[in-house]
Amino acid sequence: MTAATPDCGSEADRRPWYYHVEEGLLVLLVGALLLLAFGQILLRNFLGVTWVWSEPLVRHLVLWSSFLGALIATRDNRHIRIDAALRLLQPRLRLIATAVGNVISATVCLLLAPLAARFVLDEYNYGGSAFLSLPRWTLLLVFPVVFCGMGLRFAGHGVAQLRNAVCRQSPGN
Amino acid sequence: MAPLTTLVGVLLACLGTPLFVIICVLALVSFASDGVDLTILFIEMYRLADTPALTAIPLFAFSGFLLAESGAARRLVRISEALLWWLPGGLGIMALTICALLTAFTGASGMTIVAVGGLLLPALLQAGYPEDFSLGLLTTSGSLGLLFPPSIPLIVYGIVSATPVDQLFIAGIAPGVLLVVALSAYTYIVGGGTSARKVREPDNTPMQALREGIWELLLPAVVMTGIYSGFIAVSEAAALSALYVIILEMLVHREITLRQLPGIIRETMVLVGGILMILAAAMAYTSYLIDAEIPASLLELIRGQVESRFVFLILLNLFLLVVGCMIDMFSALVVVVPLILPIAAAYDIHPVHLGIIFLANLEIGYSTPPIGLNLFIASARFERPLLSLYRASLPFLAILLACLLIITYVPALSLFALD
Repeated sequence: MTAATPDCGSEADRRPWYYHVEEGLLVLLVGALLLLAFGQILLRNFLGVTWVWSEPLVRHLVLWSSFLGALIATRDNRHIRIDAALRLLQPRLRLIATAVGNVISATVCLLLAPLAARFVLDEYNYGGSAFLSLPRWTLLLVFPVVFCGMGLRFAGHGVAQLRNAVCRQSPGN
Repeated sequence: MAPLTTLVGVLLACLGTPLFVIICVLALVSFASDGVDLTILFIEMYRLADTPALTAIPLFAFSGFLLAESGAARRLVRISEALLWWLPGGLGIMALTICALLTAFTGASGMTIVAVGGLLLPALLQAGYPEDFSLGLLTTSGSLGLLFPPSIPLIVYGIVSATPVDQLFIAGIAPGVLLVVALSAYTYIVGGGTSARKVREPDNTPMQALREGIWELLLPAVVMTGIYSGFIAVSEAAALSALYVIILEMLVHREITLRQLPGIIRETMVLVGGILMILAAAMAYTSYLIDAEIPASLLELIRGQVESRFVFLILLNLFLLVVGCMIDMFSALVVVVPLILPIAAAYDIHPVHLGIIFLANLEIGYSTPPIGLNLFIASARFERPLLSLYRASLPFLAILLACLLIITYVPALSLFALD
């Protein structure tokens, strides 16, 4: 997918700044995850030291980085889905069906985002602190952020696919 | 209510809606109809952060992606060529073994077919194996190895069913070997009977090949001894294997540069993110199912119809094969396991054995026409029509199904190594 398609636009020629932020953050989180996971083993086996906070921190790093990965997967249109039925359709119909699927996904995610926000708010009001005396609600911020982001992205895909269907052009992967 | 929501789910799936969204919809609708505060969805999702085996998923996946990106597959091919070239069907057997080893690390992402298929198909054809045979072999190999540690679907089964992952890792080995050996025997017969030539590059001596690839060959052993010996937990074994692969491919072989690392991390996390979203959504939906005592009423229903364990197992296999060829492995695991687990327990099936039956079924379902995922991946990768892949994979499927019967009805094969 190096050749730019002039008519209906292509992804390659416009990469907004936040793409780099997302990917940079992802690499940072996974890097920290790797270092901490290695460090934990070394410390425990060679120095006999265990940090109580490291295990929960590692799991939260997994949670955050995976959710960020899911956000990027939404951008790439690479969530796990069943496309067997879609393969039977003509390209144009397939595009329309996918667009409808994406609009539904957008609706669901954007419905869930405020729920997630309320979950964080509840924890902010009544919740305690987690490891390293971090307030627990800060750990949960990933839920509303990612669901909101995914919702917007699904909506963007849906709209772009509908436009493409009108343009009679099939989308790239 | 339940049939309606299921229907909606199927409809959404047909539109290509991501599976995590569908599971979220099911959970939302179910909880809402019970009048429960809907933030429960996120309370349940957040339970993931308390799951010890969670860390193993990204770490093993990262190792798998690093291996796939490096020259590991090429080195393994050279080793097996140097060692097995004289054996009838040797090239085919080595293809099976390499695919199984790689799939154990990369999971059922279709990466095995994509990563090694291009390397192995020309090699098989050049050596004189029939085209149908070669295609069928590589297609079914795309999910062969899912029973071997550190396969991610096994870890997911462990998380969903609250079964110790290390026990699953141990239990999967013998059944996994059975599948590989059975297919190898077939390959041996075909390889001996056709014009398949025995070839070896003259400069590929066993010593030379081993010197290049011995460290990758040792990786499964490193992972397993860690877990078997009880010294380290599964998540620690995952961290160690990631460290091992980083050192090997970046410092020893120098095939992966620091520049490539962000890209590999991104690819890994896109896959893991997809899996974890499904897992998170399933945490919520499953807790509804259990609160609503759906598994219990399902059990009532089945108990009324099915008397014997024998018949139950047959029905279970048929059901799982259909599930396996219709939906992806992770969704199948997270949705179906909580429903089946109590029922299987009532028929006196060990949860570890159930896990192996599940994985074996899903593994086979992946290559089962008409819509097994491997067939589509192979069709795209090898540029062959889907129909020819259906035909090509049939003999392999027959053998795998025979093995499935053994795995199902001989629990000892899975359980003998546990205590």
